[in-house]
Amino acid sequence: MRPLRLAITIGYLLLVIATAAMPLLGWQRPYAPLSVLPRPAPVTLTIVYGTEKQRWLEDAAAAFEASGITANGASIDIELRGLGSRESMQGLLDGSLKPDVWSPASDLWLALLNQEWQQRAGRPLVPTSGSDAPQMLVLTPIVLAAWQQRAAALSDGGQSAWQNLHASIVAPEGWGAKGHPEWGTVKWGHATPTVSNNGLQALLLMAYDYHRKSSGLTVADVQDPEFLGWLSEMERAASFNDSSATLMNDMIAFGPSRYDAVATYENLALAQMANARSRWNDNLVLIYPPANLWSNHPYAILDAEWVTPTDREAARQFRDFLLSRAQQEQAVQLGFRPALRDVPLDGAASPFTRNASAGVRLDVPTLVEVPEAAVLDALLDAWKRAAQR
Amino acid sequence: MMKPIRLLLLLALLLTACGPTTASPPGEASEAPANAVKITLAYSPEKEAWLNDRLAEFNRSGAKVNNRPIFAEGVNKSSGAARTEIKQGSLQPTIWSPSSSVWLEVLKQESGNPNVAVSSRPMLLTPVVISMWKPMAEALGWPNKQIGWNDLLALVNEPEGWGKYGHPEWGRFSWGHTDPEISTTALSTVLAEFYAATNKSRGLTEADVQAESSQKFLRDLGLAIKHYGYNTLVFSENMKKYGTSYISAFPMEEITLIEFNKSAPPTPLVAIYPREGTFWHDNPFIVMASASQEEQQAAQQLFDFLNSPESQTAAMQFGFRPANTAVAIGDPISPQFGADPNQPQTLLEVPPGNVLVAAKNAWAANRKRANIVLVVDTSGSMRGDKIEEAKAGLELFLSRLLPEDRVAMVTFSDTAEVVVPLGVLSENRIQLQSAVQNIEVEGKTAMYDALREARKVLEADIDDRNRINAIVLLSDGEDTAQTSTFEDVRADYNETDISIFPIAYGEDAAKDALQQIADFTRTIVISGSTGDINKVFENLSRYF
Repeated sequence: MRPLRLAITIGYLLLVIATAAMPLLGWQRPYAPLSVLPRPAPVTLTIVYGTEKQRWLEDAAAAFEASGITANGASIDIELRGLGSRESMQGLLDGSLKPDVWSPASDLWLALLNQEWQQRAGRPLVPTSGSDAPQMLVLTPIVLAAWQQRAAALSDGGQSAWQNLHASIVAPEGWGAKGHPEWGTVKWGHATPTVSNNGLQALLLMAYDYHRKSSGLTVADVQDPEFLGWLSEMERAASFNDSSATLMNDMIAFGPSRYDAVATYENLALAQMANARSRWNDNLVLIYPPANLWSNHPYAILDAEWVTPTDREAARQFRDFLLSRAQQEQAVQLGFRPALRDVPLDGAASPFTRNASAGVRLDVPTLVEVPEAAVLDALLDAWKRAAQR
Repeated sequence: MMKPIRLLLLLALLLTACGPTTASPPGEASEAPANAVKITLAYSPEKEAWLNDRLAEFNRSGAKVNNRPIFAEGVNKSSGAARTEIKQGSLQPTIWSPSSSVWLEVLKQESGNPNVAVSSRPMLLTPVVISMWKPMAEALGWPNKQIGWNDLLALVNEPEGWGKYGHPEWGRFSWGHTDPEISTTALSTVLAEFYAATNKSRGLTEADVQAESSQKFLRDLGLAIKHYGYNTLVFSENMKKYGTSYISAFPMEEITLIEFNKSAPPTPLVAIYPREGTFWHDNPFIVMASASQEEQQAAQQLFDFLNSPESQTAAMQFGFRPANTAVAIGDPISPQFGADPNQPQTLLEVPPGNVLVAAKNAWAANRKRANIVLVVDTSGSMRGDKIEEAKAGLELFLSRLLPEDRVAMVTFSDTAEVVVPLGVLSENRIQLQSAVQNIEVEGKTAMYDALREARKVLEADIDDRNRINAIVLLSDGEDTAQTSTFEDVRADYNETDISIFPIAYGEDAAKDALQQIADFTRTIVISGSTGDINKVFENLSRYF
């Protein structure tokens, strides 16, 4: 008798616990008959993304998993993998990466990937229309983040930010020419263009600025020997990092001794403003290049055989979650510009408001046109020569 | 029926005992669980105290990869030595953390393998500074005036020495230098000297390093070097002991300076962040390419743990600056401990591997040469294994000196005798080797007589700043001949720049007598026994 009673007791307890836990486990209909359907196995949604979104996506994924949202009745586990945009594109092309969702920093990469995929498979990997077409999650422009004192010296050349920087770099006495021999030579940095979206964008803005245009950059422009000479001078004073987030972190960790300025994403700079102040007793200021580029962080659900209908449904659920007002407001707190138009940028607690005196601009100047792949390839070749990479 | 239950209970107990929740004594790493993913971290010695604590804590934290617990083990290894062992394959860590990522460049260059690591991230930061006694730095205009390598060179060349700055009692400027083959600070120092010599702060080339003018700059600065050293420790200990009379300045990591000042010395040191720029030592977290996929994932978790605000704050207590930018900088990185948290303001560029190797080689070719008198106890008490092991040690020592060094040998028992007069080692090496082999032991210990003889051997070179003048004294006892006194010896050496390095040989060596000698020439007594005398001589060879 005893074992039987024990079994009954335990069985009853389990039933009570299971019923109580149902809403927590994501069971949407607590009154559904218990015995009818076995719970589907959880689905794992894998997302490869550009590292600058790490903090936002990790927090959002945790909130999403806790919310109990399901896909076709299955609970959703999110697996995030941060990689440089170009690196992840190459992983998709060589088959080493098979995620359900790809979210590089810019839709520039979607176009480059599709172009290659179309040739191989006869169709795009990222759908270009329909309800699963990519949607942008957040936006951020490129800035030059500089230490305040040094920024003043960089902005008094009367030319564009890039030209002022160049003039300071080539001055034989370095910072001595601006009355600060103790700062040594002018040192700056940007992300590696062959690996990182941020690096390629910075390079593109430099090329446009050198040729004083904002559209129609040609292969001849980027192969112009005078441009190459100018670029070599710029890059001789530069250090590169494969990750834009690590580069920005190094700027704060090693301080003005290592970098007077870096080309970076606005959101990465905004996230470090307070750290910069507390560590070096100096402020960072943001200088906006005269023409800019958005990183629009597309969320692309891949049209691939490894993405099951349940994966696809899970991907849509997470996309909608990221585009919810709460998550968009969270992104603004982290220094991104929202994709949802009615989420304000200039709320009292927003980093855009708090750092207004550090040069943060709500409007972003002229945008440049993204040239075709052949021009980008030629530009990367030019960079490899200029930077001796 | 009972047996399986008992077994289960036992298993449960065992699991609990091995489990992550079991607290082991702080600082003591527990055993690795049987199914653990084991990773090893080879680190440079200045991180020892921090990592002992952190690794134990990590192993208790329950970190897992593929549902298996991670067990991290530390190996304490000097940066230069670790790079040699990794190159030879005798050390194969999952993660390597030398003082500076410069060593990764050296390893890539020397091994011809640019893909030896999969990633390298800064973990703890400390800048290289020139430490100087506060009153001396103030005499040079610190903190209002920025001081650099060129100012030091001017001071080296100044015949009046510190007298030029109103302090003739400090004598001439002197400094110390460790070996760039082993010490990261020494390697950074050599690079800084070459940059200063060429008036550059980036783009140092092999041609720059090999230029005669650069090498002369190095030799000129070398004129004021008191002696070289195996590592930073001997210098900081002697600075603590002898204060301003030992050396005027010494390049070190900011963390070493903070540690020094924490001990509340009578005269504190201050950090000079050289005007021309300096280097950061970034204590990188390098994941080696030999690590498996699983080990790399485990390494990532260890990095996240070591980079956490808690671990980074703990490191700051030792004087490191955190690499995690969310951790604010505070004490002890402050003027109270001789540091300036707003410095450095500019850097020198880390040159590529080929230039690093060329700089190391150029240093070896241009470092100050030495006049060394070996003073060897051949009294009766040295009988047996003792003298045989010492002979082997002396041979090793001779093999490590430069061919251009000049060496003499004096032996003593009842009396002292110059058995090999001072000569260039490349010419008298065989003579020295046979003199070592022919040593016979008997009689008393005329140590003081021997030191007075050695002084005479160096007579002609006393004022030669181009060479280190040193005596290596190997003895196991006190003077028993009593023909000269300690006071006689002290009077003989007064006002000379000769350093006497006594080796107290054997358990029963008369350390007090030898310590007296070390004290007035401001060196250290090195203890050796038959088991380690070879190592003692090898380390000592790096002083010259």
